[in-house]
Amino acid sequence: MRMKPLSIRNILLVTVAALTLIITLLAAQEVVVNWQRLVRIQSLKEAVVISDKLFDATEKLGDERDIAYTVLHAPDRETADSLRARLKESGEAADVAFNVGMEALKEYNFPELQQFRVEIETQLSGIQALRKQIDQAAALPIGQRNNALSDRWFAESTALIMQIQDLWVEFSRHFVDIDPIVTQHLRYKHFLRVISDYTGRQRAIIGRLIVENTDPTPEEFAQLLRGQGIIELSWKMTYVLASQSGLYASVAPYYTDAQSHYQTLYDMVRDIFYVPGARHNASYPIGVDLWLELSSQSKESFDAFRNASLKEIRRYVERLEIQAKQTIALHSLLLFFALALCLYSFRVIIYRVIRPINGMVAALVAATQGKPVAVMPLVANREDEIGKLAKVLHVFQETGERYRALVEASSQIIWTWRPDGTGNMETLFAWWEKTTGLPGNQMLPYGWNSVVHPDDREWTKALWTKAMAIGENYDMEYRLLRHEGGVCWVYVRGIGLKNPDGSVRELVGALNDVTERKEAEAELLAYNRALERSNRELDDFAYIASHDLKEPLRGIHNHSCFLLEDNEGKMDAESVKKLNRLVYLSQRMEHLVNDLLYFSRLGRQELAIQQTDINEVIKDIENTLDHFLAEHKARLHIPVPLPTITCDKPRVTELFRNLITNAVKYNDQPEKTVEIGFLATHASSQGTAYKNVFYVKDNGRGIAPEFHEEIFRIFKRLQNSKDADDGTGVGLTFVKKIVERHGGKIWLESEPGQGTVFYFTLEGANDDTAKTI
Amino acid sequence: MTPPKPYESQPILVVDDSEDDFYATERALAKANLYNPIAHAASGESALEWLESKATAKPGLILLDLNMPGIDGRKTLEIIKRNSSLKTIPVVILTTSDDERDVEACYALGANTYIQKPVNFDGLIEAMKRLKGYWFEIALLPKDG
Repeated sequence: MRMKPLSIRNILLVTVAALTLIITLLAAQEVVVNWQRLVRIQSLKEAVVISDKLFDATEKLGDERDIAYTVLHAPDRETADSLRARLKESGEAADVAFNVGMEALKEYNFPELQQFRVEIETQLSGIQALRKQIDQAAALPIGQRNNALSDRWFAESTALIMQIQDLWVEFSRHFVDIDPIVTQHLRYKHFLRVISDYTGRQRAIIGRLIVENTDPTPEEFAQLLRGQGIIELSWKMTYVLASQSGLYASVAPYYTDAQSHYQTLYDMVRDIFYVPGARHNASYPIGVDLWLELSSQSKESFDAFRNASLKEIRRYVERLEIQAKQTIALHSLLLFFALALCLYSFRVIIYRVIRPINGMVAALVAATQGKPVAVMPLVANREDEIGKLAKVLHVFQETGERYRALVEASSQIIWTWRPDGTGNMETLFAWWEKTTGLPGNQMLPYGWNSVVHPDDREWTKALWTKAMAIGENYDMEYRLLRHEGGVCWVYVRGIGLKNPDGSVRELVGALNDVTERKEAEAELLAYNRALERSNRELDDFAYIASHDLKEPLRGIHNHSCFLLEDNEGKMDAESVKKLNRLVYLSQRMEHLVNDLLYFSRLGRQELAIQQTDINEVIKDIENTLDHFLAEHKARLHIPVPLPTITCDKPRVTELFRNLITNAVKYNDQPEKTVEIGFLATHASSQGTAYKNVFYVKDNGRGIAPEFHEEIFRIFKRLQNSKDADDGTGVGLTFVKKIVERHGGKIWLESEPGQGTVFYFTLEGANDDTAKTI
Repeated sequence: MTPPKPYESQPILVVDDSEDDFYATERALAKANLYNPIAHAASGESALEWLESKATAKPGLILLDLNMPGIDGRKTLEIIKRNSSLKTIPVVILTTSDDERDVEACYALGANTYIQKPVNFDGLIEAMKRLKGYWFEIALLPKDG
């Protein structure tokens, strides 16, 4: 099964949704990562606090160890007593610090810490037992003191401190991967611890040597030298690590102070305790009080340095936390904006693109189904592409409506046909079925041909086949067999519409029932034929009649003449007069018969059409009528050169001659003028405009309007003539006949006393060959 | 007085169905001073019969009317001009018709000249005078063999 392709609007929405999702996911991932980091930084912060507490516990334990050691080796009772209170305080402080640290640590269930805890608990209970012994021992006289207790104490408390220190390091290792600086800080703290521890041990040993005024055992001496090395290295390391981790700037004054205190003290006792055999005079040049005082000062400055360092490290972690929070806030903001942007895009796509397009698509679909649909006014007023599209759609709709209105208004049956067999043919089918009885579904492709009149079948089928194949326009008028009998004439015009590649897209056609017209035409044709025949018969009749009339006429005339000749002098005057009258009348009769004969010939004979220069024609007439014109004091006037036309030259010559002769003959002006001219257009008195009009204008007596038609009738004269040669009154009849034979029209404008203008057209003058020379 | 020319004794055959016209022609010929014997045939048939009878002398001139019942002037002309022994006789068409088609047809059939019958007798006399001049001229031409 083929998938239905996604519409553009779906693709747009899916794309925007996917982009939104990607942006959201990326931003959300950043937020989550930073959130996780923040959580870890916060746990680091707590861990730092805990490690500081553990650190503090070791420091406190170290203090207790050193004080206890000094107490156990106090030189006299007072010193011991004075230190016992400090020892007690120190022990309590150590316990508090230890408990706080261990309590805080309980929240962390790292498996490896468990072992440490158990061991530390054991060691602590050992230490607590020793504390009681030390307290009891401190109460004893100086001489009864047990050196073994002090050694044991020193060893066990050191072991506990080391154990806690290891615990602290182990614990801290879980957090070092959060930040590389934190690792350095851990190491830095470690070295602080080392300095503190070893400095404490050195002082305890030196303090005992001073109190007991004994030389250090070789063991102690080695211990002192080794401790000194470790301390010096640790000071250096502290400096390096502080510098590398960016701590140094904040702790520099404390470092300098603590380090110089340590260095001063060391410089003071270096020659006494770090050189073998330095106890000359059997006593040390330094008292125990001074030593304790200096040690305590040094320790204070170191504590200040240590506290400052720890505080700075905590601040560093706090800064990390703030940074993480800021990052989270920033990414949250970004996420929010990304989402807002995406929502806005959705809105734009839906409201400004998809909805208008959907609306227009619906309107177009409706329009193709013939339903009028209003275009959304908001869209129509827009100036962007959608707005333009809507305007175009509007025009399209109007065109469609106009087309439907035209189809409805038309009496024709409009249809369309496409090569795939679709199209708009219902009206045609309905009409066809009603007329011929052939069902609409049997019409195509060639079914319709079966009800065409057999004489028209072949050629109509051929035209239709060609039109379907190559989209050629066609035009046919043929007969259909009505189902109730008889034929129906139809006129069909088809227009082929083609695709850009030249193939046939559609045929659009109109069918018109022209039966009535065809019948009327046939009737008219028959009538015209009858008329023509009748006219010809009339002409023939006139010809034959006049021809046959002439023979007896000739006999009458001749015999009258013979009578006159043969009986000259034998007849009385009255008889001669009557015979002469007979001769005159027979002559007049001959003129009439001749004119009738000529008139009938005008109607019967074909025109001898040729190119004729009318100027020449007029010149010929002027020459022929030379004497006549002179005799009547008449003058021809031709204002502009006349054209050359295609006509029957002898007949047109006769036409002009007749008009000119009439213009002169019926003119009582002393100076007679006849103007002959040509007009490109002229309107008749009825208002009809004619092209290429000749005119012959005189200054004669004019003709009353009531005679304007009558003068063209044969043998009609407006005045009686006494002279047989004066004419029979056929001149204008000939003129009219000649004009009509040329397909023209003649009319006149005249009033009595105003002269007369004859206007006429000749078909030959209306074609393109008519030119003014 | 010059002696009469040989053609002056040759008969003139007038073929016309109209007695009146024949009479007028006869009188007009006399008025035109043509004194040849005049034969009258009232139809094409009698004219051809007269021409073909060995007894009669061949006419020097034939005046032929066109519109006649039976064998009309055209047919008569055609037969005369096809007949080798008759075709040299000048035939003058003397008819009422002035139809160009008749004129053309007659010349095509071999008529020697064509005269329209004038109604006026004077006109006929004039026509006969012209005919006399014409006849004399063609009579002087060598006869084709």
